[in-house]
Amino acid sequence: MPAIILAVTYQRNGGGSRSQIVPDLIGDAILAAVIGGRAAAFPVKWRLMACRIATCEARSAGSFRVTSILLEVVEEMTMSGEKNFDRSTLEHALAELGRRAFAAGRTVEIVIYGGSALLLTLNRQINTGDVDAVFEGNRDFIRKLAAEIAEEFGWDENWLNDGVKGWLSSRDADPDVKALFKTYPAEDQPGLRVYTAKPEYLFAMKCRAMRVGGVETNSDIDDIKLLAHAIGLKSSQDALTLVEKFYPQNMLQPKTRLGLEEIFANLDIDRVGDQAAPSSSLP
Amino acid sequence: MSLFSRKPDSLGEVVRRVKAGEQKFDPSIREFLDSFYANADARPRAIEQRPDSIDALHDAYVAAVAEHLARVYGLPIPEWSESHGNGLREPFFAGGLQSLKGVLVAESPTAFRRRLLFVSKDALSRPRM
Repeated sequence: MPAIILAVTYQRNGGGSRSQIVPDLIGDAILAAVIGGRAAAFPVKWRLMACRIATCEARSAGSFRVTSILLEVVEEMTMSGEKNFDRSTLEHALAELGRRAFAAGRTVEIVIYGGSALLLTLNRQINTGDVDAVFEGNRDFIRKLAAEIAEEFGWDENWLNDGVKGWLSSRDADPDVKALFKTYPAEDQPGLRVYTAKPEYLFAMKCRAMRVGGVETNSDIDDIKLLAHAIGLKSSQDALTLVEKFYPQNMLQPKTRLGLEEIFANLDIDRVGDQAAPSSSLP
Repeated sequence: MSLFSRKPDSLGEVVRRVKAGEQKFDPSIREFLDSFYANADARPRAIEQRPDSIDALHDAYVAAVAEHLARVYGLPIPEWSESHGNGLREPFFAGGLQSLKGVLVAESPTAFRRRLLFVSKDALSRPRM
């Protein structure tokens, strides 16, 4: 069954404004009550489907009042039920982190790698709901905020994790390999500055890893093809030269060279295939 | 499931999600691995229960994951993994790249190879290991 998850901004009595992703089942009637006449503005399929609101907040409805007219769709389940982890979902999470950091009087920085960086920079659809990031300078503070958000929203406790550190290049400290993506919640309220690894760096990381193990897909190889296209790489030799700018040759496995040679030999064919495919299946 | 939802904490939960149409197999396995690596105390429980059946390929893969993780982390190899997913008759090479078949034959972990599954030696690695 398709479902949407919504976010409500509300005012705690005696407290500040907060956003709450609404995770529990309520009916269309409650949605209508919350958003009033605007229910009709939503597509019928959304109004007919179950909507969700946080149980704890619903139980203590007297303790807060909704201040925004409503609602931000932050995630939609497809008809097949596959989780569609899109850019707005991720940005909502980052904005929440930024809001809390700013409220605490801090401005923190993180660098995002992996699938989440691809999602932010190339709008690559991903299927796993966590964020690979490095936040050296503010580690404990960011961990604390991320844990609070996870607890409050019922998210996985490792939704923001820094395990990617083991894959970083020795050039990681070079400012040229990252780019400022955005400041959250806003440039004039700088709680969180998000940097992303540049596509060339992401490409090198993916080529170095080149994990081959999926049953139905192979995300590393699919990501390599996407990034090669985005960067404009034309040959496996160019690709290897780029990879070796980030990782010395002795860190690369034979599969990296072999895989790149075949990927680039077929890249044009793949592009033709992609163009013929429905947009929903594009990486 | 919801945004950043809880990861599957067992292979049984992976299969349940796949069969219920809640999540595709590969991302569900990846999330299971994240959970497995992050929660040392829960590792035996994560692989001990026999999952339901999906099909020959997926069943073999699930059994291989269970056996491989048990070997790597010194856990008892689940008995169910010996009898689950033995129906694969054709070799499966992950990744779809012909040029890597030789590499995969050479380095696929034993738990995979003996089930005719050929993956890279780091197929189950995750960034947070």
